[in-house]
Amino acid sequence: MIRTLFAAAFAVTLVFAPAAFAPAAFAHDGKAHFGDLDLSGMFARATLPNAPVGGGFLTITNHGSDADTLVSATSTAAKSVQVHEMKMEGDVMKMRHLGDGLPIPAGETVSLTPSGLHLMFMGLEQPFVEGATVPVTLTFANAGSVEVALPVLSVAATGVTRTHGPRCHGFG
Amino acid sequence: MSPQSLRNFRIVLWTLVAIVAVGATAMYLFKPPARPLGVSGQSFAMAATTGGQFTQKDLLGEPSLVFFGYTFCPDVCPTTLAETTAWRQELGLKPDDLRIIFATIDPSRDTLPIVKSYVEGFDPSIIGLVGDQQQTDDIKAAFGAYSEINGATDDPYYLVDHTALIYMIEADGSFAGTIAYDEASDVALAKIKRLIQP
Repeated sequence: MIRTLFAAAFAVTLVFAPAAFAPAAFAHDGKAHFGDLDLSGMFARATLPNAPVGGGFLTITNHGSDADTLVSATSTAAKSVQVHEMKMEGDVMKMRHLGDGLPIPAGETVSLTPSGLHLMFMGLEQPFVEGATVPVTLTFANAGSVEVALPVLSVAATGVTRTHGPRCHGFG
Repeated sequence: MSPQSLRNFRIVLWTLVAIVAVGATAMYLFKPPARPLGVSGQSFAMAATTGGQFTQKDLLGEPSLVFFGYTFCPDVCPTTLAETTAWRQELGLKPDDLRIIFATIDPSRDTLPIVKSYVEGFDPSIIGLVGDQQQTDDIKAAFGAYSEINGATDDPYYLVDHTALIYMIEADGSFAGTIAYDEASDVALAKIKRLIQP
């Protein structure tokens, strides 16, 4: 099912925008376009030795006219992946699992960034090492499933710094 | 000496005794209280990743930054470890000038070897503290820190809500204030400068 959806998305992308868009799975410039959704700012934090969990981050923009929901995430790198919300209540840090998924309202951008929302990878198959990538399949209620690769940044990285590679000519 | 002058001498003497007694009592009552070790003065004893036990008396000596967390925490705890070591570096301080102390509030999952490799993976000079449930409750009480398991404990990945403050402890072991989570870096640096030059 996921493969089929992904293949469909791949085909659609190829047919309609072969020059402008890279298929989501090959989003090595840190961005992916998937149906009405734009995924950007993707990264995971390197994990400390023995850390049983890791954090993943990305920004999702819904360009469509219908609301969508990030209902689940899976990864071959961890036993399970959950969407968590971190909140400060006074000086107490509280973390909650968003069991009903994360709403992505029409026309809005939802950011999973440190000190807020994150993908929590639980039961790591191996530590997240800076420079590697972590595969994750995100499933949306409407848009379906997409596989992306989160580049692993430093242990306390707060975001992706835009680097000016060959793809960025003219935007300097 | 006449009986009259002896009587006057006695009056003067007893008056002096009364003044000294009242003065001593007042000095005793109004003297500033000794500042407790830690925040509350509660005693505690935790196993340290640097070896041996760490008690409230070990707060004496050098200034310290103390905070609470757990290794299953993917956001706040690595951030705090990173920020505190970065601040120390930025101020050109050695580990002996300012100790960084991480105490786990998750005794059922965080063992000494786990916390040791966790903090040492970050900076070998960080002191990780691990205790059993009672010892953990004691050190929380010593700092007035809060933590509570959130979710079912039979879930191996349960979450723990906890105080995310950094407690600043002076070289005499007394409490000097806190640095809040997400405090602006320049404010935190100014606070640490005051801490190390009281």
